[in-house]
Amino acid sequence: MNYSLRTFLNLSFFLCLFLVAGSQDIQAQVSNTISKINFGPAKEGEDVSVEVELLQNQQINRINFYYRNSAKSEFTEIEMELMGMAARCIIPGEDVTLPYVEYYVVVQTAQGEDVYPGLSVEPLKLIVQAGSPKDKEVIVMAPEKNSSVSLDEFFVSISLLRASDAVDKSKTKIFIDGADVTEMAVFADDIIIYVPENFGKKISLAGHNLRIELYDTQGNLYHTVESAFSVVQREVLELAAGAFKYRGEVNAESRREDVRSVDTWYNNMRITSDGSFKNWNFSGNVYVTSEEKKHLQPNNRYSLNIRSSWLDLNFGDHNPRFPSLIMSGKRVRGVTGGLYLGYFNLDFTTGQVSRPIEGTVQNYITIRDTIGGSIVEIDSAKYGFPRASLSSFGTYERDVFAIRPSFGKGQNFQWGLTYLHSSDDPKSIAFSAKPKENIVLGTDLMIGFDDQKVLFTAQGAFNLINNDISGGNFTDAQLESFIKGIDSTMLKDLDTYKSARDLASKFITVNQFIGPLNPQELPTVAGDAALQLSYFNNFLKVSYQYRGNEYTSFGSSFLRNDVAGFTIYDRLRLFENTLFLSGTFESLSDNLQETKFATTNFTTWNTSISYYPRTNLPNVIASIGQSITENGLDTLTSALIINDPTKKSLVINDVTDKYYLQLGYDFFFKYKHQTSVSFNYTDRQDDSPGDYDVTSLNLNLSASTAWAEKFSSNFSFILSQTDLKGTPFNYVTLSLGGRYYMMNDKLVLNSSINPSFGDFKRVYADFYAQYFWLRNLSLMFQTRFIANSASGGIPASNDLIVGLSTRYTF
Amino acid sequence: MKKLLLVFTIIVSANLVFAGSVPVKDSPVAILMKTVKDVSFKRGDANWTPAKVGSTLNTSDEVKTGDQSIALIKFTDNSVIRVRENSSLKIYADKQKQSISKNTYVEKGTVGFNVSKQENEEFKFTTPTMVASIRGTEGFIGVLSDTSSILVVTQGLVNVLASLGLQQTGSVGAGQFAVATSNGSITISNLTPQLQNQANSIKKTVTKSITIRTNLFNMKIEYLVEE
Repeated sequence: MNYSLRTFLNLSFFLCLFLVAGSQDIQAQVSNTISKINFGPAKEGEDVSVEVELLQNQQINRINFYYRNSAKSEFTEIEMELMGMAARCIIPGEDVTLPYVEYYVVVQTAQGEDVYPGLSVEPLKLIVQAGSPKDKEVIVMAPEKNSSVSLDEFFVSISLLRASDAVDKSKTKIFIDGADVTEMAVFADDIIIYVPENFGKKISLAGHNLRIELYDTQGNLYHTVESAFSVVQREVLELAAGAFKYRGEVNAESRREDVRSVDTWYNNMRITSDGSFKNWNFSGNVYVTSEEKKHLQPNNRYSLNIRSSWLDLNFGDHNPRFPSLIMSGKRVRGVTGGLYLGYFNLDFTTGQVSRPIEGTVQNYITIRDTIGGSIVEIDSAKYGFPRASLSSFGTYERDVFAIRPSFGKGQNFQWGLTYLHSSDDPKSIAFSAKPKENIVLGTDLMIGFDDQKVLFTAQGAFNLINNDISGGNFTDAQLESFIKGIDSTMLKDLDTYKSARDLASKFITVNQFIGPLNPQELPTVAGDAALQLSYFNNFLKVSYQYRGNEYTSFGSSFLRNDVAGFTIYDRLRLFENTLFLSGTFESLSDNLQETKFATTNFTTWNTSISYYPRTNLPNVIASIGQSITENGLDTLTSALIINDPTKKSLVINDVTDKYYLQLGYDFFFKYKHQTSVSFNYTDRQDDSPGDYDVTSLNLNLSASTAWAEKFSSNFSFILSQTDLKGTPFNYVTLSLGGRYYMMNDKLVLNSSINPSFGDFKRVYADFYAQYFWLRNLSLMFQTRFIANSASGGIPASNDLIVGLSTRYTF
Repeated sequence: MKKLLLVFTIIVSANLVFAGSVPVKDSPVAILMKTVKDVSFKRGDANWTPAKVGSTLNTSDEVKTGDQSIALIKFTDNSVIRVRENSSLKIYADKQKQSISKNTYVEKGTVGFNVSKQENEEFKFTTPTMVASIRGTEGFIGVLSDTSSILVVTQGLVNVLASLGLQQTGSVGAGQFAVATSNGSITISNLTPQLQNQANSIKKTVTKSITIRTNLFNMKIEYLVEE
């Protein structure tokens, strides 16, 4: 491509985005709690950091992040770490696959749940970038990527040994933090060396970015490689080289929020530290907040971790990971650990998953509850009445114990067995009802061949649940009466039933509330199996899942029940990883135990094409998909509805078409620009009597520009048009922000203004200033002003949040 | 005299490895990434000179270290060798298009390695009594006082050949070590804790320094952190 054409394309795209805003990673939708979500670089196979910025955090109890890649039908849940005005988590690299990861966020407040981007809106997409084979053509010998190097040993060395013949090595350019240092570099065949000291230059003690630009023989940009490194004092490296290494960080914050005329003061502090001694690693985390309340589940967090290659022990708050059907994403306060000997391994956890919170009594009474309402039995000797009417039910203390012995290292083979027991403690509080108990037995298997290019995984689990253990186990008399009630002829085997009760009661409380009631129909059985093949640049995964309608594990309470079916996912890499084609087909059904009037079938297909050109052109991602949900009922032909028209609400018959297009373009035109434009359109046609048609169109333009080393700006434009059953909801949100470093980078100023117009009117403005007293001690002032327009009967109001925080690292 | 002849034979053998290809003498194949205390290098017939960080190394260049000294050399394919104290080696490399094959002759001392090579490349170490073809990634090789050689492999696989006498061969896997003696025998055993610790220690190249400041001068003394 000649220079003028490339310049024209650059200019065209640049003008199209009119110096716009933010990166593709920044998403903003309507929410009363979430300001925006920031992601770290999303590269295939690498962990992605997620930060949810909050508008305010009054009465936020918990924030959960849900995500799934194209190969998964279910969303995985992560409980985010909440601190001050932000919540953070990490998407594991194994789940970061092309072309995107879908996600949404659920904020649990005292008033209920705030789902972001909304209940009727498709999940958002985080675009995943593919690794380029051209990255391997540049070898950064020094300083190594993400390494720390001492000031007196710093120099840059690059090897172009692997560079293609199309590259003119002499045209290579080197930039440090955006500054071109090529003229000071020495070119020696494959090696390029830059020693700043030779030119009287000194690099600062800080994190830096090294950028290498390769040009082809025509002078066109061939490829760009970036590498981050830190320059530190020699003493820091010496400390790191010692036998005992440690580092830590203290964050403290005090913040006042005046939201909807409710004034709240928050104070919190987090101390994190990690260290190592020889082959042992340690880490600790303490988070204390003024939000810790006795009437809520814990907000404080304490954890201590000790690990080596064969042992892992966690004390305090931890999220243990067992086979996903049994335990995943649940916080346990107690002890979690594992012994990893290779051929034999043992994972375990024991502790509390919810602490006791007493219910609230409205009044003490004598009458019985006849309608299953809010009246509970209480200790009459203690309270003077046999019953109480509650205005809110309490939460029992719930403990969990899980253990999983497994055999095999997990490279080619592993087989595991898992047992979980979880129970409410009926004596932990006085005012509540129906404490529960749950046991789960499961097994999992993994077989891999050819460096896991062929991988088979499977897991299965079965559970028992008791929905009310307040009365304890059956007495002999109660058991006899219970059996007699079922079938008096069974009484001849009473002794056998007593023996069975005695044996089973060692694991779970045995009384009339134990389930499943229909075990022959497998309602409490769940299983997954998947086969993956990775050959010829193609990744194929075929999986099957089965979840009985009553399958319950207290360790994994986010599973979708009553569903079975298969999913096929295929991804093909073409033209040296420049073009990716992927497709997903999923067919699921419910009503496995025939407990519903009709079986609903869920059919979903999705295809996408992603193009990451080697040349300096925009990346393109386009996808199209469809979801069909129907249960075969029809208002005109189904006997069920003809006989009883009130059941017409049971009809499910809708089709949702989805279209998505994104262009992303990072380029240099006078300055460095990162731009993207995305278009997302969904059309749900509901042919059921409810006729809940929804169309949604979202257009997002964003760009950030580094005008100088010290100053950068970002701008975004979001157009959202939604039609909910004929009711339009349209708005536009603009965002303009900037960041400026001054006083030798000791002071960082950051501000933004974000007005929304249309059916949703709001303006919020942010300003924060961070001052570094020392390299490891900083103070930050933050303020946010939100002008809410009157909406839905709620009068207009202004909110103000002012906070002061400090950060110290050691 | 016998030892001299042996060294001569090994150097000739190492050169023969690259027979048929034409090494570009002036083309750098490696860089000195770090030097501690007494490290010097020699090019061709020139005298030994102190080595500086950032110096490029061509094929046939020699590097030696003194007491409590260390040199870290990185090849253009990002393979690393760590030359420990009182060691001496000579670098041979053959660069062809986008690949480079290396054969490092270790005359004495201990050299740690961390290999980053492609399938079509070779990484060999030659000692007076052993030729080791590195197929794996990490370990160290050393020449003992009686000219026998020791090879420790912590990751990957290495094929070894005793270059004298019996000329035995073998494969050394991760967690194993091999000793080749001057009679050409090779014994392969599992790593002892001491060798494992030595392998860990060899990977570390961080030093400490003391600066003495006087009215007349400032003196900086850098030394290796002993485990």
